[in-house]
Amino acid sequence: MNTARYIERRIASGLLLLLAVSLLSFSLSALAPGSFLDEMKLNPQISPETFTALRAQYGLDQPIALRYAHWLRAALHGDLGFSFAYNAPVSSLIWNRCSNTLLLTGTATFLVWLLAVPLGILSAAKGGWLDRICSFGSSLLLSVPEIVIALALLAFVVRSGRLPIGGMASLNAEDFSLTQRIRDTVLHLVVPAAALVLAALPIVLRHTRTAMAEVLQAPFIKAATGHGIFRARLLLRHALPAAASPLISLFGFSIAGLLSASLLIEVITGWPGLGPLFLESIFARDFQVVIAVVMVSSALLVVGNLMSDLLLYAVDPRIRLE
Amino acid sequence: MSLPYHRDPLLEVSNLSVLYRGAGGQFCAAISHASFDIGAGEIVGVFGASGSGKTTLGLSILRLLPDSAQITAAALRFQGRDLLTLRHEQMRRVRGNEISIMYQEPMLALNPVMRVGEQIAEVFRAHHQVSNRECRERAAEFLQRVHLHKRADAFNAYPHELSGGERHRVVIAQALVCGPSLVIADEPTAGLDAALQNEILDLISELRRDLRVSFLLISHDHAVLDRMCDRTLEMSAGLLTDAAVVLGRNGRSSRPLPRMNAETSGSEQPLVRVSALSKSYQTRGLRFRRGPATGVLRNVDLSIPQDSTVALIGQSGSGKSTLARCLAMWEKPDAGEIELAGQDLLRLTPTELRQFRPRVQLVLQDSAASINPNLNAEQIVEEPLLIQNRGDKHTRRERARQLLEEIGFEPAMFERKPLEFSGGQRQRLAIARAMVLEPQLIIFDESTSGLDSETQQQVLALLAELKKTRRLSYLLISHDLHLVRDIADSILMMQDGSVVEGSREMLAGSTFRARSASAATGSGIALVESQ
Repeated sequence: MNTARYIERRIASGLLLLLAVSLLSFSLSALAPGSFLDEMKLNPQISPETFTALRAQYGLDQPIALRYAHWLRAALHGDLGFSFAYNAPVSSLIWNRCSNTLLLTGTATFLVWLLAVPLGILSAAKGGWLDRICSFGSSLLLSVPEIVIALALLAFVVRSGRLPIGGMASLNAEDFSLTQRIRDTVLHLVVPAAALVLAALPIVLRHTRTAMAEVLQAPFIKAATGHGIFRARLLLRHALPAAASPLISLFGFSIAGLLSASLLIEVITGWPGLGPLFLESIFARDFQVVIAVVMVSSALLVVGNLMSDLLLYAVDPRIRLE
Repeated sequence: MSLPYHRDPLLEVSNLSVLYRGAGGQFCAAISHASFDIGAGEIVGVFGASGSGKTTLGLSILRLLPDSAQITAAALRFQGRDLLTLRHEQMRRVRGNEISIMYQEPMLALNPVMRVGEQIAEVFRAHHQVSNRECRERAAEFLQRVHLHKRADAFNAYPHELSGGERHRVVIAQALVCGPSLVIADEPTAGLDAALQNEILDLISELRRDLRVSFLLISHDHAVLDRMCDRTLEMSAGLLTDAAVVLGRNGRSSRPLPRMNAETSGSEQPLVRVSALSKSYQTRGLRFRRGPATGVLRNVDLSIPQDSTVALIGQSGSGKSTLARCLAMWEKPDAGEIELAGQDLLRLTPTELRQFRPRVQLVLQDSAASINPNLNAEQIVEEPLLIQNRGDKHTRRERARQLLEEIGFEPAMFERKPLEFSGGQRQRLAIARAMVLEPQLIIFDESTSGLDSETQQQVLALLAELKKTRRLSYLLISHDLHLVRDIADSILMMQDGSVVEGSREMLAGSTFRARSASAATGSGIALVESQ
């Protein structure tokens, strides 16, 4: 198939998906009982007139369809609405939190792949004690809930007292020089990132090991051995590309999950990312923020899928036949 | 074709035994006390039926057997060095560089995600510390030596984009790119049509002259060994004997092949009628542009009568396999009609198509690739029944066992996985799997080309037997002209995507001859009237 047209079609379907997600999340949040302003009703200092005026100001008295149309038009111009709870535009609020989350999950994802792929390859190729340790360790990590891993890490760090906990900067960070600030952020990053790595590592490790073990049985690998190809080259140049397809799909998912994977960990370790914001805005019925977070997550999902499909297309020539 | 060679042996093997550790801890012997030698520049053949241990012999020389195999030998010496005592790195330097190996099934032996030129260069790179460019130049040179340079894009092609014959050439180039002194060739011509087989054998002879390479040629085909080898050894149940006396000049067995059926009913409506069938594939052009569409099938017309055996011959790349896949509805043709017993297959709804599938079965050339390696023999034959939801568990198993016995499997073999069978046994398994649904038409796409002549006859006898008791037609796609002439009721020829019909009467007075034409005009099979 024509590659350019393939990409065009994929992007178009991605945009359609985003539109559907926005419609769905908008109408669902409108159907949910109550709004942010309902809390004000209970406040005796706010008169019913003020309340009605506020409703009109935020357009809450208009029908859903109209509100959605307004929202969509604004969103297309980059304006994702206004947060009642934070009294700030949603876009800037989200952008700030998003970058914090991406710093955390990006680092964690990078570390996971950096560790898991070589370990998985070695585990499949060498077998023996390394394989047994990897298999035992990954079973253990898989069976322990994420939250327990994070709490255990926190407990450990609190006792040792070597690392800062909570937030992403020390209280006096304003006085630091740039290098000190970077060091400070990295130190704050250690605990949440480690928790995320420990949670995601076994999945990637297992997939890599399985895919490699299967390819290493293939006749063409035996043939390459018969041609005297170096063992290391055999693994990396011959076997790995042939085993890459399932890993690329997994990589696409990990991109898609960049924003959501860390939700729980962020809340537990106090990382000021999208997770705590999402949770708070749900409780506060600050729906503009909720919708915006959902939209950003969906956009990442679309991008992640597209990336993995294009990578697959590049790596496996057999797919191009269609 | 004997050439003078030094008598001091290049490879000296004495008392080589290979034992496999079975599941219960007991050992079973794959090769017992084999002794032979190969001189410089000599071609030594190993003949044997499928499962006799030929391939194991070849692999054991390079110590490429799995860990469950135990090799013992009084001597396994190559150029004076004992191969059994070499360390891993020393052995690696021998493999592909001094002794190289050509594997049996090129489709499986080539990496599906690496360009073939690169795969040849990789072998050279593993043994020479030279620049990337030199490796590629060397690979390109060898693509030329195996006459693949006519395809401009050969270097950058992936294995699935090449034809069967072209893949064979790539494997040969891989084996020779380092200029080894000995090549172990495991069935180097299996699955090739006669013309290509000739070309490949000529190529091997030519390279042997030019490079003074010795060959250990493993084959089940007497004709190939007779033509190529200075000496031939015979392998039978793990025992190696000198077969020079046993083989006649023409190794083909004189036992007549079973005729399928003489009484062809001409008046009936044909089982299959194909008219104006066309199929083309989109080629990939530069960058993201589309290349021109290549027509593989051009207005094919043919009919297959009820209860008949129709043979289809043609050189590789002429569209035989595409036609087979279209007939089995594995692929949708671009235009035309396919009628099975009066029903137009191209107008079936998906549900109807599903019901139709058991009626036409296709047995492929490459059995190892078409069988699920995780199932055992019994499950493989049973699976189609399961998919079509026929009978209960007990009857399905009974049916599978019955068929396995009919194709000559011992009950002890029922539980084995495909990789534990030899190539010939796997092919019989694939045939059993096609038989189990009792189809009306079975298409054999070069299905017997990988079998030794004895097994081939057994299979053909089985096919004939099955035809006696039920209404069944065969479409045999083959390049083995002798086989086709002996068993087919009618013969069709395929050339450049079109089918030319040849009647039996016409063929009765003529002989086929494979003719390899000059390289410039390409090679072809010609139907030659003998005077």
